[in-house]
Amino acid sequence: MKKILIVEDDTSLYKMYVTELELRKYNVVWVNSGDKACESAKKESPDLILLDIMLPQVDGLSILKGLKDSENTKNIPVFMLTNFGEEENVKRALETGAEDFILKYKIVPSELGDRIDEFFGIKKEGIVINQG
Amino acid sequence: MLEFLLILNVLLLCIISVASLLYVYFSNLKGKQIRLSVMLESLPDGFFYVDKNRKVLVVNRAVKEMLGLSDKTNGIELSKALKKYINLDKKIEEAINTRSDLIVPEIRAGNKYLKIIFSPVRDNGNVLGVVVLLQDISEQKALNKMRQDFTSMMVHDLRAPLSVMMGTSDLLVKRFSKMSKTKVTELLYDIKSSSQNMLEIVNDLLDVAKIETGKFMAKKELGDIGSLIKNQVEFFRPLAERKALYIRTSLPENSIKINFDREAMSRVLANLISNAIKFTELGGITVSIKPVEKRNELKISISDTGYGITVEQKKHLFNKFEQMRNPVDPNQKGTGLGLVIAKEIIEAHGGKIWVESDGKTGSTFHFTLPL
Repeated sequence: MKKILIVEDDTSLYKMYVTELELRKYNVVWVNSGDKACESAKKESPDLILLDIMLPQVDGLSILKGLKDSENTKNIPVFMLTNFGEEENVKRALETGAEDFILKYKIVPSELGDRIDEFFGIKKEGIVINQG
Repeated sequence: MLEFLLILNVLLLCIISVASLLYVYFSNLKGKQIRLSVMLESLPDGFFYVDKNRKVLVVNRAVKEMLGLSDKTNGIELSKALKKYINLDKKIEEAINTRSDLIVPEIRAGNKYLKIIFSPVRDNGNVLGVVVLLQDISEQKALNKMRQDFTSMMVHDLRAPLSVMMGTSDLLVKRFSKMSKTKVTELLYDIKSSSQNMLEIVNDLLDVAKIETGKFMAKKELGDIGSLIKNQVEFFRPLAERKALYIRTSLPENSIKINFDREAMSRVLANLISNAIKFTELGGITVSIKPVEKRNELKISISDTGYGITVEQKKHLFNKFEQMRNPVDPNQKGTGLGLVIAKEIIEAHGGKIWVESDGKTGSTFHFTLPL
């Protein structure tokens, strides 16, 4: 079972994502504050991190840099999941090593699930084509 | 001899008249020059003149202030100082050749942003030199940045509840059969609270737009302000209690009837009380009314035992485009426009609003209303 760490301070958004992802049989771990993100990534060693940008304490782009600078977490793929779609943020995130940049308001949970399935090489029907 | 003396007298009179005329002329000229120089010195914009030989002349005080130069700076030194930021010679050349105004919209000079206008001075078609005007646009630029940040924050704050409404409803449509009843209720509640949150943001923005276009008018009616305060306090009691905070009132025994706009005043109180709860983690909130008879007014105060407001924060508190974020939970919902709206409502009632805080141990918002 793939493990996904969601770094999201908005409880309603988290609930929406976790419901969909658990129905797709993902193991979801959640942190709601920026300062706990790197520590949790190190402890949980997830297969993917969904990272918000505007977070309490530490912002998502700084967390991304922290993750990519650390030996323990640099290889964990990160999808930025935010409502801050400014070009500068997208550029900075992709340059720092984010795999994808997703705008929350443009995607519903099922589409996010499809995108994650596709990233892990899982067909829509749930058939694993590539364990990655 | 007499003839000679007469001629001499006439000549002397002529000389005196000419001298007087010349004196008056030069005095006027000097007066004009002094007036012109005083005017140039008091201009808020920087002004200097460069003749066609590229010699910098007539530099006013504002130029030196803007560039951080001493009072004694001469033309050559000014020219040198400006070269750090702009190719002055090239721009002068361009203005002379094109014989038309040349505008450099923005340069950064130290910690200031300047706009520079090069305006050729013509006489019978010949360009004599160029007048250079420097305008400090730092404040304008800071305001624009604030507007942009505010817009970007508002867009973000509107997108968040929208994402929940759109995503959660889609989730319910597609996954309804696989969810428990409790889960469905929980998700429906999220949609409801997100739509409420969005409505609040839209209402705040609409109120500010109304204020900006001068359309806000207080619809005053005689009523009991004490009972309104009690209602508002009771409305917010559950919210305060959820954070284990006390909320109490200190009101005169008798009812106080004044003329006020009930709906608008409810907004002011709701904003001040909810802010007090938002920014307090320990202790509580007290709402009090005190008649100030000698000024013929009522003073209403909302005190909390929260984080307090620093001197720096106080400066921006009632400004549009600037919102205070909660130090513990910066993502708490709200446009930060509530205080701007409150100020407008209080002023429309003929009162005033201010805040007292030592920046550490709570704050008190006071506002007055005429009796």
